Amino acid sequence: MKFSKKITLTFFIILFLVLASPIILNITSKSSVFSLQPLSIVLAEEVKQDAAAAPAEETAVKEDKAKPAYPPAPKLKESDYPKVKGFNGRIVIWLAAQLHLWFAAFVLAVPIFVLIIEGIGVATKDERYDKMAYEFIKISLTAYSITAVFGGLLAFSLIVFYPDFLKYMANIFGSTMLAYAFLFFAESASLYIYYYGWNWLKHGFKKWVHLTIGLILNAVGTTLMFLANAWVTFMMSPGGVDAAGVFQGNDWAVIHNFLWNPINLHRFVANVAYGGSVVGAYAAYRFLSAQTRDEKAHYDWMGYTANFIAIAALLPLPFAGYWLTAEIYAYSQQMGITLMGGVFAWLFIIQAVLIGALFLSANYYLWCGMGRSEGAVRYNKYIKYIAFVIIACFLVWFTPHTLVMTQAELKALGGPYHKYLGPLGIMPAKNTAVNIMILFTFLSFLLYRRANKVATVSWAKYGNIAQTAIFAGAIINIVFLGVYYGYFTNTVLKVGSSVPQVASTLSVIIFCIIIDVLMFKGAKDVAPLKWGNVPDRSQYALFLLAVSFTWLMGLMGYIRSGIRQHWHVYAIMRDNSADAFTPTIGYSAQIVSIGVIIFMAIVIFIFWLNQISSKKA
Amino acid sequence: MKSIIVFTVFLAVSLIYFLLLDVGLMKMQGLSLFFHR
Repeated sequence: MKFSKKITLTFFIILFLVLASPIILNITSKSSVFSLQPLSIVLAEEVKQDAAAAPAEETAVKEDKAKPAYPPAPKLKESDYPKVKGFNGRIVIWLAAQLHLWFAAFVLAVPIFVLIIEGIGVATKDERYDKMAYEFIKISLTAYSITAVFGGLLAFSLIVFYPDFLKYMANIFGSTMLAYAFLFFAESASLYIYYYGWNWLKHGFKKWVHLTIGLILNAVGTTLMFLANAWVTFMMSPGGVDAAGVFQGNDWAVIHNFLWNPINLHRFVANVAYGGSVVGAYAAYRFLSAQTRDEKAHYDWMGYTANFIAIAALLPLPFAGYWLTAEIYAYSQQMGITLMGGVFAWLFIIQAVLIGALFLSANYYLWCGMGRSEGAVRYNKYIKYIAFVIIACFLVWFTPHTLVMTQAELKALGGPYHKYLGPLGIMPAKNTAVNIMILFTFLSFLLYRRANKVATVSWAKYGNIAQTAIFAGAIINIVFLGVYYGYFTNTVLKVGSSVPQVASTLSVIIFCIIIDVLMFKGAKDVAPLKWGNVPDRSQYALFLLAVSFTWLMGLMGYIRSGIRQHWHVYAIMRDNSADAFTPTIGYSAQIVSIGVIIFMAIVIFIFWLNQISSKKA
Repeated sequence: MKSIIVFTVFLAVSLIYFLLLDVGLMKMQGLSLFFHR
């Protein structure tokens, strides 16, 4: 065996042992590292051992053991919250947490699709994929340190402004917090080896080693996110504690609380979509500042790939969001009604507008991208119909149920609901609209995909007919489910019918992709694709995508956190600080918007750093 | 004409598929597809 291989294998064994050590220790030791006990219990155990030698003291030890091992949630007064002149604790925490999350989402997502792109490069032996994957990871590396900086700022801000809350959380999550810190080392190590070893581990067996490091990087990153999600969801749906907030000693119960998995899924999918949109903005930035045709072609291709990733993850995202919301309702109806029936409902209208903007800009980018192909003229005539359907669905999607009106307007309307538009304000109409919007976005993708191709299989005509029939059947079914259950049955059925609606949309996507792949196997190209041959305005659609995603995450993140209202930990630990109130929607939107501007300014700085790093003197 | 017939057949097949999907997924949730008051 070669020396380099020996070193590589030794390294992997060490890395495996480091990563597996918590599990190994958990199995081999009674006192698992994942169930760290507070000092009181350790002392009680020592006393117990002494007591075995001295039976006379047995009663006293039993009394010690009977004492609660963990403290209840503290009942705080306003004076318990430290104040720092010139700073509002809530705003500092709000912005630090949000900025940390934006960057964290980005740096966790990029390695996921970088690994996939690198894998595609290995499979197709196309060097361009490798180059693009390397460029993507380069951007995330700069963002990685900024994520850590904001993570530190958040931790220090919590110590300064909410020390008692943090102490309570540390009592419960001490073990996971330590595991998080140790995993961060593993994350950093694997990321740095993955990035700096890119050229070193480029060929043959070494490439597989590199891909494995990428896999470890993603496994560690996702675990980190799941741990942090446990803290966040514990604040919303606490588990593993009694009514007074006393930790029952089961770490898994507090981690695996009611909303943990819905958030895990939603964040995982959303992160990929978000990461795709931010690197798409980077590609757009480089495209617009490109000096040569080759550079333009490269960044056009990069922007297209990033947009593809963002949209591929965006399509299933509403379903993950729907599941999360349904689970919030299932956990606490009061929380659910605050979320979508109370003051926050209006933020969902803004959410609808932003999601509509996302779909429109993604579609617009695809339509502009059809200019790269000479064969696209065959499909251009369909674009106006797709645009019409998407806009119609968009209008239904953001129609509010109740309107903000003056008394005179209310009187003129004859009630709070508009005669025709009112029915469009309820969820069945919106579910129907969003499913059709997703289907037509998928149709744009199908058209883009075949724009430069001519199918050569004999059954191509019937393949197209089958695809059209599947689309038509699904739309009939989605509209039937939305109208019949939405307006002629009760609420249980209304909610229940959304499941087959989603299944119909997913069925179309799966069946049509299968038919498309088979139909265009061995297809002829109309002409070579002209990468870089897109108008500049298409690149602004990519910017819009990134900004909309960022703003959306900020607003929706605020709602998710805000539905706890005046609780640090819902129904367990009350927030008694001066800021324990729900701010107005306008105020919240302003804070989130400030966050978006700060984030975007830092992101542009990162883009600029990457640009100068590739410049030669 | 042939295309219309083929389309109709495919549409009928896809509608049957979606109907079965609806029945199955509603039943899984303890709900029935039709006959609601």
